[in-house]
Amino acid sequence: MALNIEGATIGFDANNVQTALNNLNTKCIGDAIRKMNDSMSELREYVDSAWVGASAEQFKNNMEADKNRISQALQDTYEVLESEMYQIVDEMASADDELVKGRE
Amino acid sequence: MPSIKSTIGNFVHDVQDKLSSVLASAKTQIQNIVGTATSRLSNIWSGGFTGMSEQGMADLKAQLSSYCQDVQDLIDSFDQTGDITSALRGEVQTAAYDFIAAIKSLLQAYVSTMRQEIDEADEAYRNFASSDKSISQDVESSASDIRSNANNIRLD
Repeated sequence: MALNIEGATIGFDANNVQTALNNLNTKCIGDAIRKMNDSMSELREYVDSAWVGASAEQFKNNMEADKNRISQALQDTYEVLESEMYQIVDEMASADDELVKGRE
Repeated sequence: MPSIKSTIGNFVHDVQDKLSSVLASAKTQIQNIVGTATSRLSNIWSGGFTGMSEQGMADLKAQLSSYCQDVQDLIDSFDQTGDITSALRGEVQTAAYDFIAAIKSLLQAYVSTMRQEIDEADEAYRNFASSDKSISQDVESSASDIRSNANNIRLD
């Protein structure tokens, strides 16, 4: 589905959008969270081997809380993008319908 | 009667306005998410340094720097995500670019805050160690007073 008005292409392909969304979710959000989790595990392992006590626990809690906060923000950001993309696709589809109707 | 050209022109204008509004609204929402998350990052040293040696502190800083580097590599890898968005055009591509820019800035703020904490760690550790030393000196001094008092009591 693509609109071509006065030589200007407002082209889009709903399948491309879905593929891009899936890729962004997997490659940007999923990989980022996985990478942070793995790196945080290594850091925790080090701390557990070198530092004990209440300060060490608080340090690990702070690090974990920050990582979780960032991971959650990444997921929330993706949800906004997903909804935005669908809104754009819907607007384009209804614009397409309107143009076709106009020619009937 | 309006011409076909102006009718289509107005129609395209309306569609563009709606799409611009969708993009602007999403951008604001994403900026708020990023802003809120980064403003709530912890002071990682808030629990103090009890039980941590000076050498342990140096090793911990190296481990933290390695963690920061992993996140930095992640941010840099997003520059190679052009292939994800290259199939897109127009507003959907703009939305994807804005999204990638936002998550890069989120992760960059996270790493920058952590690097700042690493830079401030030595001073925080020194302050903590000196206050710890001062507390133990106070305790030692009090203990000495108690011993002296006890001796006095015995002498009495």
